[in-house]
Amino acid sequence: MKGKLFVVEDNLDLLGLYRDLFVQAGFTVEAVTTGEEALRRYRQQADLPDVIILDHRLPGCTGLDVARALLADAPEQPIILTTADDSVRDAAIRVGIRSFRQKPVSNQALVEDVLALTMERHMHAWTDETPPPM
Amino acid sequence: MDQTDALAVLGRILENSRVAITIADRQGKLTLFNAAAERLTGFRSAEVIGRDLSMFYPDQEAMAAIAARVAAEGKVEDHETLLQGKDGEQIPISILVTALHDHLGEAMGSLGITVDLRERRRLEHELLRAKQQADFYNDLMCHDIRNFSHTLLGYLEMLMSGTVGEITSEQRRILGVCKRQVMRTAELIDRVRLLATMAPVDAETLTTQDLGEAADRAARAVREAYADRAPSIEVQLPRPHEVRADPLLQELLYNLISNGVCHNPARDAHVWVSWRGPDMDEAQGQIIVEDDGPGIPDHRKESVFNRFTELQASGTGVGLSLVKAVVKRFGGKVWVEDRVAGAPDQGARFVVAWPGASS
Repeated sequence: MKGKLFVVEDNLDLLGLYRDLFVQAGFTVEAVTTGEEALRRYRQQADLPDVIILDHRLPGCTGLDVARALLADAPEQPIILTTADDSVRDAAIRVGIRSFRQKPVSNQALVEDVLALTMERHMHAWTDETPPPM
Repeated sequence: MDQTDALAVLGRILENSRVAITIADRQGKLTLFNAAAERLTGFRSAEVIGRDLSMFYPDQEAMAAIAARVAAEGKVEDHETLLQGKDGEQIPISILVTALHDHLGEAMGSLGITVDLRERRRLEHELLRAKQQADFYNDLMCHDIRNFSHTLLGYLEMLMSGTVGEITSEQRRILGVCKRQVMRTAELIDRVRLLATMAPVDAETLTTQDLGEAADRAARAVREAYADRAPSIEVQLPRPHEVRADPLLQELLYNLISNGVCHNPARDAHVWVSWRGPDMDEAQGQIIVEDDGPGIPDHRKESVFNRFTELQASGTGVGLSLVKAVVKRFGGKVWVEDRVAGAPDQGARFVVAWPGASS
C-alpha cells in the first residue's frame, strides 16, 4: 500500500475513475460527495489521509470553503484542487492548496501529484517523528 | 412665417409628437395635454385640463423634489420616475421639466416632456435574461463538459495503459483518436470562452512580448496536442524579436500553427513560422505562418475567418475566428494567401500584421 487518499467529488463517474486509478496504484481510497460530509468524515479519522483530491464546485459549497476549513484543522494537509474553472487558481494558492489542476487532467499528472505529495508527507513524518524504515 | 402660422406649426408638432408633452401653470394645473400624453396615461385631454399635475405622480415626495429643482435650477433632465395611468398602472418614465417664463421673465408655469420607458425596460429585462442565459451556457460548457471530459480522458488513458487488459496496436490507435478528440473538446471550450469575453485593448495596455518565445511555446503545445502524429514545425524568427502585444499572442500563434496541422491529412504536416519585413511602405512587419496542407481555394480565403466556416473541414470552427478576433484586438489585419502563388493546393500562407508588430 502506498498511501491513503481522500476524495471529495460529486460526479460519481469521476469519483469511480479516481477509485479505479488509485486503488490500482496501491492507495486506499475513501470518497465522499459533499463538502459537509468531507469535513465530518475528515474530523472523525484518527489516521489522516496522505492527500486529498478536492473538487471545487460541490453541492452547497465550494472546494475552497472546504479547503479553508480542513487547513484550519490541519495546516499541513496536502490538498489537490481539481476544477473546470481556471479563475480560482490564485485563490487556491492563497488558501494553501498544494496543487491546482484544471479538468480534464491526465491520469499521469494526477498520479504524479498524489505520489509526490504522499512521499513528501511521509518524509516529513519520518523527519519529525521516527527514522525512516531501513 | 408670422406668429399665427408659427403657432399653427407648433400646434401640429405638439399633436404629432411621439413623446408626451404637457404644460402646467404656476399652480401646477394642467393647461396642455397632447395626444401622446393621452396615449401614455389613458386620460383624455378634456379629463385632465385644469387638474393638478400631482394626480399622475404616485410618489408625491419625488414630484415635490422635481418642482423644487425646476424652481431653483430652471430645468430637470432625464429624471426617471413613475407615472400613474388611468387604469392604475405605474409606468416608468423619463421626464424633462423646464420652467416657462413670459417675455418679462415672470414665471408662468412648466413644460414637461415625458418618455415612456416601458419598452426600454422590457428590452433591458430581455437583455439581462439573455446575458444570464449566455452565462449559464458558458458555465455549463466550462464546468460540466470539462468534468465529463475528465472522466472520459481518464478511462481512455487507463485502457491505453493496458492496466485493465492488453490491447492491440489498432485498438490503441483508435483510443488515441478518441483521446485527442476529448482534448480538443476542452480546447474548444477555452476558445469559445475567449471569443465570448474578449475585450478590445488600447496601445497602452499592450506590453513587450518576445515573438520567438511565444512561437516556440505555441509550437511545443501543438506538438503535444498532435503527439500521435509527427508534425514538423519550424520557427524561423529573428532572436530576440520584441513585439507590442499581450499574452494572447501565444494563443494567436497556437491557432495558426495548429490550423496548419489539423487540416493536413499528412502525418508529417509541415508548418513554418517566419517574419517578413518591416515593410517599408506600411512601416510594419508581418508574421508569416505557412503550411503544406491542402491550401485554401480563392473563394474561401475571406470566409475562412468567419466563425464556424471551418466546420466544413475538420476543425472546430472557431480557431481562425479567434485568430481574427485577437489580431483585430491588436489593431491589425490577418489574411491568407497561397504559399505558392497561383497554386492554392500547395498550402496556405497566413499573414498577420499589426502596428505593434514591428520590433
